[in-house]
Amino acid sequence: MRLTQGTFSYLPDLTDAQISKQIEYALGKGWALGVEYTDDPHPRNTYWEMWGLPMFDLHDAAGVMQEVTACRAAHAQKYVRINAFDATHGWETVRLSFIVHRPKDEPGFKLERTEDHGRTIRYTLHAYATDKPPGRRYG
Amino acid sequence: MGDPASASPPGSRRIDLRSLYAESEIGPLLAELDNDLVGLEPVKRRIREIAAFLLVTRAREQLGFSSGAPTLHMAFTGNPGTGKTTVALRMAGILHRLGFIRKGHLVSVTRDDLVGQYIGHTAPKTKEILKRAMGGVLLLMRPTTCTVPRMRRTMGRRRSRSCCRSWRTSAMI
Repeated sequence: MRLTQGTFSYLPDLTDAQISKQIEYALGKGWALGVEYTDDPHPRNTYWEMWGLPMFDLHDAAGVMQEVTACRAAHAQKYVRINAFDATHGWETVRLSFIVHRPKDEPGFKLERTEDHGRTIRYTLHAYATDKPPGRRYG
Repeated sequence: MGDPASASPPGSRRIDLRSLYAESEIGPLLAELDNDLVGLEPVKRRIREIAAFLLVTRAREQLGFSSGAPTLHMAFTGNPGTGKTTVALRMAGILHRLGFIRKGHLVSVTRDDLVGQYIGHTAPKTKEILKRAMGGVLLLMRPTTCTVPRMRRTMGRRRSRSCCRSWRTSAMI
């Protein structure tokens, strides 16, 4: 099951040229870009591992692409995403976030139903990948 | 160089350097350089020479002569306040107009920006600066201060090495 988190997640995977264009757009807006990776695909897992520090004061997408390539090489079997952080007053938040790399095989999620009092059903998502310890998920 | 007509390369056609010059819009930039900076005649002449060389390189590329990217590293020397940074800034503009660099910004750094405070700090710090300079021009102020004889074996040397390694790939293009 394909993980759909962040912008563009319902589109086919972006090519490097397209990612570059998106980075250019973010840099044009004055946003700081950061590369992050994880092997825990749960939607509530918002804080991924940071690949280096967020990159401030960049002018060219090549610098970010270099980090993306390095992160992909080091974590080929994990999810890698780019965050664009807007530091301007009043925003101070991530304005754009999209996945730029995903593992080959994505097993997806199991829906867990728990009976609560009064026969209420509570639902939980459980990622099959997280059955294995971190670092050994996704093969 | 070689005459394009006699060499007849693949896709041979005549090229008009004058129109190429007008197209690149470096004329106003060079005129500005002449008007804004007093004196510096040899510098201005040299910059015009470099600009002409780059323009011809562009033209050659369009004709299909691939000569590889020209080496664009430059050294500006002179007393304080003689316009080294200003000229570098103008040079960045010229390089940008001619399409040799993508963004045309100038990142000016000194020893403090490149050399770390402890062993192992220098390489990532230098890498960070190079990343920031990508697509533009990296101006290294007083590079002689980067290697201090006393600590040659640690900080400065490491900076030079990691800098040189990525210089070719990232600093200019």
